Amino acid sequence: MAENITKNSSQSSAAAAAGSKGLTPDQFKVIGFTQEEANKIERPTISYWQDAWRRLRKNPVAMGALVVLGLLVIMVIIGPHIRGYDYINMNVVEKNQGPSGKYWFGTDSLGRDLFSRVWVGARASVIIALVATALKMVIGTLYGAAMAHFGGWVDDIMMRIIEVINSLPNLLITILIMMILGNNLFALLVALSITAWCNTARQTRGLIKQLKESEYVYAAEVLGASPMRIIIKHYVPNMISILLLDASTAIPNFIFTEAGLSFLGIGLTSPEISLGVLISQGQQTLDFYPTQLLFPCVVLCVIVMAFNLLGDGLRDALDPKLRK
Amino acid sequence: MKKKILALLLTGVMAVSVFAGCGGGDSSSSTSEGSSAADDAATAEDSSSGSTEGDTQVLNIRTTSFGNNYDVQDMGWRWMMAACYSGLYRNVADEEGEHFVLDGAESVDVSEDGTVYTFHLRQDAKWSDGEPVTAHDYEYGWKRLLDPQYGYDYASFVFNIVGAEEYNSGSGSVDDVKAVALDDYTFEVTLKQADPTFEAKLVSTPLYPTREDIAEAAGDQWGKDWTLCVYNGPFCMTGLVEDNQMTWTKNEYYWDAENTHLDTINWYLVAEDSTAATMFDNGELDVLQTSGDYSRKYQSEAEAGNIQMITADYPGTVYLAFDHANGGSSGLMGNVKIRKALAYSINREEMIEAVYGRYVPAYGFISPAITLDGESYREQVDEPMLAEYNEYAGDNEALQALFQEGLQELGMDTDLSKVTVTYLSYGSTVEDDAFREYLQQTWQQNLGITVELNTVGDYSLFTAERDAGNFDVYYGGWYSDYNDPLDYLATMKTGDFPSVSGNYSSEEYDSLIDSLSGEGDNAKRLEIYSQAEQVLFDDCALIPLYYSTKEYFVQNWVKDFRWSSFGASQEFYITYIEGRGN
Amino acid sequence: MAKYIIRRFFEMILTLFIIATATFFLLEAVPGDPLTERAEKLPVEARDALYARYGLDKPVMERYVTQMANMLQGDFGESFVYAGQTVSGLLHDRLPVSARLGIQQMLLGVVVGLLLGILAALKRGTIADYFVVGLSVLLISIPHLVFGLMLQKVFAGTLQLFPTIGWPTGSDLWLGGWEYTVLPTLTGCFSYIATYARLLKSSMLDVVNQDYVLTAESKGLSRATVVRKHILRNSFIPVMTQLPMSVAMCITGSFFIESIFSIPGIGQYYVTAVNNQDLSIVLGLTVLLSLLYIVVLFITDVLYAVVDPRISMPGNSSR
Repeated sequence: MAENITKNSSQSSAAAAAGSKGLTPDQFKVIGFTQEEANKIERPTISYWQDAWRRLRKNPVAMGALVVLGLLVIMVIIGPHIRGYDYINMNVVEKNQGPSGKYWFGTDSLGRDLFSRVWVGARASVIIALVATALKMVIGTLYGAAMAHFGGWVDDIMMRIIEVINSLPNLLITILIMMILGNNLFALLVALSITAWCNTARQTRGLIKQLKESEYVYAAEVLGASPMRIIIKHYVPNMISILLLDASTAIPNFIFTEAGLSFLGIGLTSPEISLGVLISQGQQTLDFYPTQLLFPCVVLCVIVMAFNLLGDGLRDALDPKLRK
Repeated sequence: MKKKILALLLTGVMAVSVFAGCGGGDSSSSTSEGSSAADDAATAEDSSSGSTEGDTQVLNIRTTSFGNNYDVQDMGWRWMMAACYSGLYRNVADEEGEHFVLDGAESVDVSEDGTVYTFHLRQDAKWSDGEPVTAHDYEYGWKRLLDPQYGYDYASFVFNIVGAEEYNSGSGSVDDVKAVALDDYTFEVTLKQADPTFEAKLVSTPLYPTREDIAEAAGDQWGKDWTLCVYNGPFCMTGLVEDNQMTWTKNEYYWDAENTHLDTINWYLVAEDSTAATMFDNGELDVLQTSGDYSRKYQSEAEAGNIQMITADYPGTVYLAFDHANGGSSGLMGNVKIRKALAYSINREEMIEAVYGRYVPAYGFISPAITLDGESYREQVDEPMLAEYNEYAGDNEALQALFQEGLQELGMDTDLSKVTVTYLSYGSTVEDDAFREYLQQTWQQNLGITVELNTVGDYSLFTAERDAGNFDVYYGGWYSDYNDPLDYLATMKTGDFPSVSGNYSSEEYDSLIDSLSGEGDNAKRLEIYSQAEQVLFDDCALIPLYYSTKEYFVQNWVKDFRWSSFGASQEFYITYIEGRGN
Repeated sequence: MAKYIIRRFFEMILTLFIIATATFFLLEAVPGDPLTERAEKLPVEARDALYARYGLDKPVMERYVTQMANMLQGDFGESFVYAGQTVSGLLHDRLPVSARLGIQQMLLGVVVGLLLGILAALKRGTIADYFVVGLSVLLISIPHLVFGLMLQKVFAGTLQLFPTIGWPTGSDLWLGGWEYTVLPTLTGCFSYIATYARLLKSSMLDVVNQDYVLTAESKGLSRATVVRKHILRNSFIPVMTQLPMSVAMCITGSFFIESIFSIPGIGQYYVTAVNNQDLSIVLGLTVLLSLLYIVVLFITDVLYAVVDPRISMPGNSSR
């Protein structure tokens, strides 16, 4: 509609311009005007997601972060194989070397190529973070939806459980879980996500409660939309942006929580490595071989930074209120 | 430069004169003699002697943990107790090696048959509250050690005393224990049979005296609350802030107080080697124990003469124990050839260099720090694993063949790639991690087997996994409590210390150990010890890795720093500070 | 109001009870027990005596009931591992130390963090914004331990400006010995800076485009007034949600810092106790720390009403 108006106005201004040079009405002829033409939308309709993507693309920082993340994903997959060195096999003769043409990031205390190890470690860190985030999202939304759906005393009890989990010091739960389930990947994932889902559940609960009472959902119900349609067309799109933001902050959080646990000797055990394990090992030789700390730290920072900036960009792109 | 040499020379003179002072018994006068003797040595001497007097006698030292047990009978905190308490003997190591000196006892009479020891105590020994140390304090301490209600670990140290084991096990009476005060300054002990290891045990803190009035008054809090303690050693504990700092001050009532020079010893709890290095470089620490790269750094500093370095054997052996009870989770550990293949495929020199940067490679069980008749046991007996190890060392084909022979004997598939061996360990320092990865790599590369790492967070989880049998081999260490090979060998006797021996059991071995009781002739004992150790390695009962050592880095201004393997780890009773400046 | 407080009080008791129960059984589920190391070398009789002395020979449920009953009377029991150590002793000796460290870190970290957050939000998309984002990522990705050791090397080692380790005790406990507290406080405040800068920035951005801000701007109010009266006031709500967690964290969260600087605080002890499965100590400290969290949470709930006029006291009307 708006475009039609602009067209008309430009035509009329052109006419006005012509008139000043002595245009006469007989120079015009009626070419016809139909109702369809008036209502025609010239540009293709843009969905919410297309719009978000369009705005994300316009944000150079977010796109930069996306490109960096893409590169990181590639490196995490092929990085360990670039130099052709095994990340476990030791070579005691060449231990604690600095960066060189042979070993780009140097070697560690057992003479293993740090370049390969950093990417293997980053792979583990990213996978752990992604899986933990997925767990947090799934458990959190289901739990939150259950709270919102049932309400009443069920809601009360489920809320109290969240309160208890939140009141317990995180470190206590994490250490205990690791002690009970043993030092393995599964235990680590449980320990990381056991407290993290509470936040998602709370958010989901609040959102659904809000949506349930919103006018457009009410309108859809009145118009006879099926519950499935309401969920797919209204609940999901409205929640997914919030959840996406939640996830984009959760991923870097998980990455450095895992790194922190490595310092307590919790988490992956040798020969498995993550960035956290590499950093805690590098820290102990900081005074002598600083590069053993530097490289994993830099990779960690880059990953966390990229996720953060992408998260900021997503938030701008997804939040309808920020449209200008 | 010249000035420095002169100062060093002077320092040498002083040190000698102070030594003389220790012997003479009056240190202050001989120190001043020292400076006057050097009087003709120009002006530098004046400032030097001035600084000696100006030196505050305070020593700052690092530790990584404080004990929390002040009960000598419990030997909860050995290095604190040996400095703040004193027993009949003191164990000291210096340039002349490890030896005993009389401490609380002035003289000792031993009966012809070696069963009755009569200790004549010094009459000038006092507790820090001024009360004399009497034979009754020793009697009370020893009987307390045996009292079944306390359940002290080290009660078995004195089971050879007449009536002792009976009292401890509940079948005898305390009055029948033949460790008695004949009078205030004579303490007599009667043994069931002559035991050459008895004297070696006297330096250990469970055999120190305890004040009955103080201990009984403290009741349940005895040994828990240090403010309730009285001390009879060179130093008294005077301050403790957990996780932070501990202070000892000189005990003026110690019988040899005039030869004790330090007024204060500050122990700082410094968790990180990096922090400790900063403090040592700044002079905030006078003595440092460290590890890994820091150790290498200070070794070269010591070579340059900037600091002193003291290295000493320490009576500890680190080894891998097998699951002898069930053959391990792989079921293979019951076979001696497989055990040997595992033991011989580790290159200990390379491992020590790669992982620790110190220590001594071990091919036997008993540490070189253990002496017999004043000479290191390892000097007298060859390492029993070395000969056979050398036949196989580095020859992976032979090692794999040996492993396969073992598999054949067990009637199993000889495909090594299908074999999985599980290694159980705990700890998360760089060294712990590096070692377990080294072991995994070295076995996988040399033997072609798969090595699983079962790594747990702490000791109680480790014992839980161990008791559940989730391992083939685990990381173990034995640190000896007294200076005799028996303390090592007794651990491998059937059923006595299953956590140390991995449930090793051998009739031949047990009968050899049993044959030692009552044997007073050290030459015969040596013979039996070496036979027993050989049996262990014919059976390949364990995989020795390295012998522990102690490594102290000491600032140049710290003089007469002493150490000891069986008393306190470090001894300060004659240490003094000279030339620290301000 | 009184009714609300009473209800909250009973809810608090219930939550604490559940927390204590959960902690107890979680600790029970850990394999092994706290006495293993002490008991290992003991003969069987002495071992039994040791277990009996700490009541560990009784069945789990019986111990649970005893423990709960004792805790109700304020008796948390004695440490299994550190003979003679009690929860009240720990609180007396160590809590003030950790509290001062935590408060100093938090004050410095939150204030600097909020200032940086405001800067980043108001200068959105500029160098200043990316500087703040970069800084907060850097501060949060580098582990405490590494920061602490580097500060130590530079400021205590090379420059010798501050002592390497230690913490004021005795009469200096609260207000003296500032030179000792500088490096630990700096080390610890970084994570607060990062958290609060990011939190305030994003919450301010939420508020900036709200209709009432636009209205205020179009009314011709000065930028400063809009920021102060409308934006800041409303963006503080998420900050206040985060604060109770920070307060609870500031007591136990300084584990590494306490360890590097040899600070006799409670964070170090807590982690050690959990690792040692030191049941009575862990249980006591957990309940008290949770209590702290819950109380702070309650106080912030009340404060919410002050900051945000839209929130009325809950309990008056059912949601």
